[in-house]
Amino acid sequence: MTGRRALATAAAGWLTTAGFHVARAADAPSVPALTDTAAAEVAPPDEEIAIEEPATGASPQAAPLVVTGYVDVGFAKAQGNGTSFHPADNRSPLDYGVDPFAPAVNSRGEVASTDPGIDPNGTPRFVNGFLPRSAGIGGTPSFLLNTANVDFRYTSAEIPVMVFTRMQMVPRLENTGETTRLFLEQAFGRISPIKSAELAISIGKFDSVFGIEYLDNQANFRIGITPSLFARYTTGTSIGVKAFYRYQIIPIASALSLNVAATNSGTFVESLQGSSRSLTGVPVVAARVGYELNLARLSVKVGASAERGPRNDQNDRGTMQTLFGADARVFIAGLSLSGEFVKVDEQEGNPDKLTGLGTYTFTSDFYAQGFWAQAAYELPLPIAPVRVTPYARYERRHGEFVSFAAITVDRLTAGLNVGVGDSLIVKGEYLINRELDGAPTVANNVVTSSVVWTW
Amino acid sequence: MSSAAIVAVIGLALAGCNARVREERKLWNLFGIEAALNANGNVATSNAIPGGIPASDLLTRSSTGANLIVQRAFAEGAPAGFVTTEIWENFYDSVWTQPLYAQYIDAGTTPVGNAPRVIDVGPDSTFYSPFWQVNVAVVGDVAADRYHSTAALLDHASQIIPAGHRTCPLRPLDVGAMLALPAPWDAWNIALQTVPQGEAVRDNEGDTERFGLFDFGPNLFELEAEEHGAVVEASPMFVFAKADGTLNVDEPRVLGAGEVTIEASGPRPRYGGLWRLYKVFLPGGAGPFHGAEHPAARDRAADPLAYEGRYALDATCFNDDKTFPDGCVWLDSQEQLETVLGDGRLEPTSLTQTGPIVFWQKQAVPVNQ
Repeated sequence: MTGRRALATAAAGWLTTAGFHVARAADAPSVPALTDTAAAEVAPPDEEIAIEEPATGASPQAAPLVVTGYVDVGFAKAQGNGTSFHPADNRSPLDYGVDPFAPAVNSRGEVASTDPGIDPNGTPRFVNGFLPRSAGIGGTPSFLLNTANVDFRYTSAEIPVMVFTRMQMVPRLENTGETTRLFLEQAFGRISPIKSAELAISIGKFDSVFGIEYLDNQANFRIGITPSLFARYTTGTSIGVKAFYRYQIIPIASALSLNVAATNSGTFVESLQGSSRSLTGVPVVAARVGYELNLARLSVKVGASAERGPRNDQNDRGTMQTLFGADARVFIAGLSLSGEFVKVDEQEGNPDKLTGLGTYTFTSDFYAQGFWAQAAYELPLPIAPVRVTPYARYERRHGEFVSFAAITVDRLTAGLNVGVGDSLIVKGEYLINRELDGAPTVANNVVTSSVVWTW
Repeated sequence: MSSAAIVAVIGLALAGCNARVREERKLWNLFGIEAALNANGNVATSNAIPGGIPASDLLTRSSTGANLIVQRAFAEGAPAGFVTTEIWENFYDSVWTQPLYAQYIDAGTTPVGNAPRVIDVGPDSTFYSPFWQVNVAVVGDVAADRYHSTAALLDHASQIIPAGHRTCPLRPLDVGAMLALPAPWDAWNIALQTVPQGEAVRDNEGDTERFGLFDFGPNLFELEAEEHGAVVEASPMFVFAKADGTLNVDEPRVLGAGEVTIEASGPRPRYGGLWRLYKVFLPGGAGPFHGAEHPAARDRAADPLAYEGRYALDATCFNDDKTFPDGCVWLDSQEQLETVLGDGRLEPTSLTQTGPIVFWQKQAVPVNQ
């Protein structure tokens, strides 16, 4: 666990009792308090915002406008050609019979390549938009500026309102030349209308409310580097309205929370469903209910999530996507355990599929389910301000486009996170991707690293 | 509720009312057609054919299941026959080929005995296709049922050798193809070739699904490169419109032009795998010839059956028993339709279909060469 992460979690720990997280926060090196608090607040999980953002409104000590950010620079190498596509596989669409998201190289979920290659006739093989963003490095080792992130946070002095904007720049050398993508990752305003209650209403483009992995979307908060094989379904930001409410049960050191959002596209990542407009006119509703137990040396958080609404890569309002999930996190004595189960069901919709990557042909009936589980342990080394946290994650995903080949894949990720103070994190990890059933075996393991400079 | 809130709610509701609705897109393959046959139902229900086509026009019941029916047409001015194994609605430029694997012990000379073909994309998929990229998978001397997924073959075959394209519609195992000319052309007593049959398997989450397939042979279609990959190019098939603008599927159609090779066993059209249906709007006075309605003309023709159902630009020529049939302007080829009627009377529909030609110029077409 990094110092910054610990600080965020500590702030989120709903009672400032002398627990593990608070201790970590206290151990953190001194930095300008207001700036650090602000930095910890802007990225932290929305489910925890109510605590970070006291219902009494803005802190009178806080500067009204705080600008923070981070730079994530990586070096990655994928096996093979950087894709999950077998060179002799000519099924149409090619991306339906493999997992193109497997060879991820950074915290954005970008893969080394999505180049489909050509068929025996020399024609590009057909893919149909079940694709992540690509870093475009193929099998060639390369430095990558994964993300240059800038956050602007304005807190009103008069009313309990906060306005937040997150912009990210992603430079890539495409086949057409050098380009820098600019993503408006988040842009929302949030009001806490009731002083005596942990209730926050956000309107704009904001984080997902489904599950827990969205909490780690940003490289400076993620213990590891790459997202799970399920992040594509649960971690996308979208535009709409969100309400968060938490009720504390102090006598039993517990709290219940509810996070509900109605958005254009739900929680799929933008490469699968764009969020900037609704194609159906009907919002997607997602919600998570959570319970947390916070004892002095033990913290347990569990939750259940659901999502339903028209899929936003087509325009038939009757074509539904339905997701269910369950998640759990346990923090005890430097050990962090977390995991999530996700089930996805998308109905077949209208043709002329539109995603964040462009237009494709048909939308297909699709099912997927699986889980990920992660363990991380911050070694108790007396070398402050250095923190060393080895981690490992296992995940298994089953997916099927109806009457196409059903596939089962798994992935083992192992890595090391070294934090130095609050402004530097160095991470390295290795991904072992395996095609267990339905998908041809390909060499698509990845070794990747990340240096995150936070300011 | 305040008036502002009411306005906001109404605004959101109106925004929702502008949302789009379902655009119909359907595929009827032999599994769907047989199901419709068993239910005495229709297929290809669409804007072009609101009532659809009775499944019994495409399949007939047999003692063992069902059998393909040959449908009448004219191609290049001569009687022709084809069979329908798939119909797509709203799939134009959206039919791709799929890989099919034949298992061989060695590099292309000795097949694994009784091993079925291996496929991955089944008949329920939007991306189902009867057009296959055939590959030889060299797997050694293995049991015939060892492999039933393309992933397993890609993992374990020592070689994957591309072997061209073939048109092989999947079929329920009880659908056969003992082809025969339909009435009234059955009077010619021309025997048609039986379409070779085989079997294919696919893995469905550990279960092996078995399908039959018809093999209509190689080179019945061409591919064209689109932004979304190489798709099967459709040739035009013309269907005459009724007075109400819907398609008259009871009369013979006109098949578009294409390459024909001359084989030892007869002429072999090298096209016809995939057709796009075009609606032909007829001018007043045009109509099909039926000998029973014009006995004098029928008796004058050397082979009156060859004109049965053939459309003429001016149907009054059927009454002139002195000049029939040469005195008629026949609408019996793509060139005739385009030159006599003009493109303005030929309108593409949303329907495409498979339709291998099995009969032409009063000869059986060698379907698997």
